[in-house]
Amino acid sequence: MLKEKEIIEGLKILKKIEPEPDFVKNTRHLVLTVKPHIQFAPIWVAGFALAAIILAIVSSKTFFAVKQPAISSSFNENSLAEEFNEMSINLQIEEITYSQNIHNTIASALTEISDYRTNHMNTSVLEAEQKYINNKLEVVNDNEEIDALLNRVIF
Amino acid sequence: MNEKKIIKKARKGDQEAFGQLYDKYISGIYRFVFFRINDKSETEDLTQQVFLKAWQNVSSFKIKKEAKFSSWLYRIAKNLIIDYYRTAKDHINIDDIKYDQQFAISYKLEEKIDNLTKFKQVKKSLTILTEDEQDVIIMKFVEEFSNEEIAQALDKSRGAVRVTQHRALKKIKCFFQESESKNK
Repeated sequence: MLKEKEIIEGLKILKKIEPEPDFVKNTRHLVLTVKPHIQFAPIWVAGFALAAIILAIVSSKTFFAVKQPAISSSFNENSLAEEFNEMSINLQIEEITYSQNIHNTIASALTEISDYRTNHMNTSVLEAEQKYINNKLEVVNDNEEIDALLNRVIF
Repeated sequence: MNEKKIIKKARKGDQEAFGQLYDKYISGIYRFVFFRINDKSETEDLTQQVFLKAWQNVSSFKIKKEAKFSSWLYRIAKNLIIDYYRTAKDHINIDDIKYDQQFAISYKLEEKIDNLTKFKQVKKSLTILTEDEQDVIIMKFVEEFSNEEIAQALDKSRGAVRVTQHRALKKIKCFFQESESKNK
């Protein structure tokens, strides 16, 4: 009766089957003449993609910076500092001019209000003028000659 | 140079490195295909396809501690054999093959083998096994692979490989017992 060990030894005989040397040689040559598909690792692919995005952002900023000097100067530290200083000085001057104008306007308004000699602002003059107009109207309303003339025209 | 270094080089497209791998595995892959196809020219054609596919996709092979290049290569071979049987209009049944055709490849070697009858019997014993059992037996006892390598190549667990191996050996044992009793 055949034991397991003998069967295994028997199976090892099958290793004697070999391909023909010519086939091995020709196939080796044929296979290696074909170009392999080289795949990049996913981490490399992600790296390249990230680099491309960064490059696109930087190049787009540079492109727009040509049209806007303020942005281009922002890349230079010195020019940025200069720009900032000039900006703050200009702002201060503008503020001073504005407050000066306001002060002048307020001062002149106050002067006019407090000045009694100014005719159009003097209350007593205004009251007197109002009285004069009222009297005139009364005079016009009470005139009998005018009434007689009107009656003659109408009737 | 160890195999990992060779594989690393091959993955970068080094022809010489892949050539070394080819030299190492060509015979084993050839036998693996031959036991399943049982036709010399078809075996040569499929073996060529296995290495062509392996070379073209070698960069996709991931070098890990557990992953074996041999298992990857045999898995390609197994898939191509499956495709072959799926697409072949009329494939040859091993029982229909004449002795000369079946062993044409090893005709010269057979002369060197002392026990020719035993060789023929062992070859024939494989025909009673299922495809999975044949793969396990060939890889384990002919190519001397570890259970881990076989499991990876056939996409099975190590336990399943052990069970398949045990059943296959039992079948072969029965085959030889029946042959002996017939001869008596």
